Amino acid sequence: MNKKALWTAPFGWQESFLIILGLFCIGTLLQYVTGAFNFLLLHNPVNYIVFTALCIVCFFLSKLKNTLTNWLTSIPFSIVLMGAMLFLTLLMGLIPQLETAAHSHSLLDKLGFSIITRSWQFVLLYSLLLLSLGTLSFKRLTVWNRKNIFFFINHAGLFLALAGAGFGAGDMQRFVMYVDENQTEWRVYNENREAMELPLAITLHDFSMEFYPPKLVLIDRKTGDALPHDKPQFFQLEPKTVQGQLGGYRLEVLTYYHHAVWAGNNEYKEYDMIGSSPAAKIKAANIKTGESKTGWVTTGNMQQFVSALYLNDEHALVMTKADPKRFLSDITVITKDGEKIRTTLEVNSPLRVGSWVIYQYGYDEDLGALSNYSSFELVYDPWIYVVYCGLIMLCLGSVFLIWLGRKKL
Amino acid sequence: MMWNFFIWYVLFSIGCWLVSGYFALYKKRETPAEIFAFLGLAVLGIFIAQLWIFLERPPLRTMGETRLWYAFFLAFLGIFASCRWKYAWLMSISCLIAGVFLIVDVVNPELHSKTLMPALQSYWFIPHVTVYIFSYALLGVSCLCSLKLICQFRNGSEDKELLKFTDNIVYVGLGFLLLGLLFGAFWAKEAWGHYWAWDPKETWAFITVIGYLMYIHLRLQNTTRQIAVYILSFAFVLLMITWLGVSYLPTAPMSIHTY
Repeated sequence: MNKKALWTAPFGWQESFLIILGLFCIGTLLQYVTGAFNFLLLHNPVNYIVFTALCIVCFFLSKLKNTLTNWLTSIPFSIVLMGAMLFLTLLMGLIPQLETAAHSHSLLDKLGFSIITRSWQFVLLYSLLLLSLGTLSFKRLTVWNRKNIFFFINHAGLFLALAGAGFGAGDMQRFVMYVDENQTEWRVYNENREAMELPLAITLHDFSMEFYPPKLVLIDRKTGDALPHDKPQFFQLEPKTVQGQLGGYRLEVLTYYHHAVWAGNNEYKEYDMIGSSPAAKIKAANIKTGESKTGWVTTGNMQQFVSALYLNDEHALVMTKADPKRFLSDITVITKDGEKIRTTLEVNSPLRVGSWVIYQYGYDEDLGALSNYSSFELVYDPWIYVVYCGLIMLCLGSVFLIWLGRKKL
Repeated sequence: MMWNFFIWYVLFSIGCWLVSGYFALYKKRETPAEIFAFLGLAVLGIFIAQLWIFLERPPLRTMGETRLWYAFFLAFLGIFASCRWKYAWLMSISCLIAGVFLIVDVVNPELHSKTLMPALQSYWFIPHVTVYIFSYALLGVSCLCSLKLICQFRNGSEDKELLKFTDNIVYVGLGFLLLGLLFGAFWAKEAWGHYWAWDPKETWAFITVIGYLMYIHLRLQNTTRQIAVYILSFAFVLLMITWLGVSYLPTAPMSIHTY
């Protein structure tokens, strides 16, 4: 595997280290003086021009056999650069990152260490990485054998993924739209909560939710804290489980209704309607004293009472708020051309309309299923195709890694 | 509750692995060692299958559940290394570590709830987590190899075959690690609208990948093989921070990957 020695340039470990350290220092200085790098500068068409220029430079560099090319594609250079990236990302992993550090006076912020991805150091090293990966990819593009395919797919894939992510950052836009039930909306809000209009409108026909069965928990009647204080224990309600233990009590689930409404006379009945909530009739026996209490426990919501089972002066058994299982919005998307698309949107199943992708985002969490609005996130990311091309190449490259290992190369 | 019976499965598995270790390390008889190790693995596999059926969802959500899989894969890889490459010592250590992870699960039971929040309900969920845990197990084995190699360097001896084996296992492990990361990126795009958001867990996953990439590139030159082996041990520390340590870092509150 020492074929790389053929290209060994005069520039080795020491030069690589010094040049990259120098670049890091320049970046830090720039960061201190001018503040964070403005990714909006890379807005269309600037990013397309710079990307094309980068590819051309990489192509010509790959054809040359000078010191610069040899150095950029050498192993010592790649390892030192990886070390520098490791250092920067370690800083990012250890120092809490901020949204912005524009008005901060702390030295850490001024040097860009709390906004690494927008710092000049990161941008300069990222650019150097792209230059190196691009040159390397073009260099290997001309030689076709099995080893080279593997090499090319991994390095070119990484080049495309990183280039797409970096140059796409300036064009990417994210908005949130809030739509009331039975209303049509076309206004969205950006990250700074400014309202804008989009060439898309959404009508919300219905918002619905499904829940998991809730849990039971013992609480301290005086403070309302879940017990035990250090690590609360829960009893998961479910159709199959009818008995269990919680704290010092033996619990027996006599009845469980997933959709229950108050039926008067201290009773609940099963009824699936807007505003129904889970209810369970529980018999709780104190294991030490044998004393037992029976009664209904419910979560309650805007339309139903909350009921707890009071066990004694200290303890009460209550039901937790049920965890959402799914939340769905039945919507129609209307484009500027008048095209109408009716669909059900939920988490993990977004809708793509042209260059836009629409995601289920949120709802009124206090009201839960009774929420009368649903919110959607609209993402515009034209560079996603470049990134995905890179990521798919890397997937293939990973399969090669697994399949071939090292020995056979 | 399945977890109430967990301790009996664990005792049986660890018992088998102890017998296996006895055959492997003292009697130097590989076949019975492998049979006993496999028996322990099979029992653990049965527990995971039953847990999956009981929970009605893949047991891949909580830390305790991922430790279970880690123990399973680690023992599996150890047995594989022994059967395929005759590294019986590796099988014994893998089973030992798998046993430690099982004991951690017994001592530290967590809330093993059936619920799976909407963001986790995706076809990416199972491949993303299993591929990751499998790669963690492979890279764990590579870390054991690196420690053995470091001892050898100190003694002035060097097992060339072991170094080759280590290279292979890192290539395969990194392959799976990258697949886990890429599946995560595709999933994130579908769930949150962006494939990469520099969430602390993502940042640390990136750091870990750089660590292993450095090993691979350092190994391309024979002169840097000793540094490479040291880096390999260090990379596993990074991996452990990614997997278990991120929740305890100052950057943790911003993570969506805390569980």
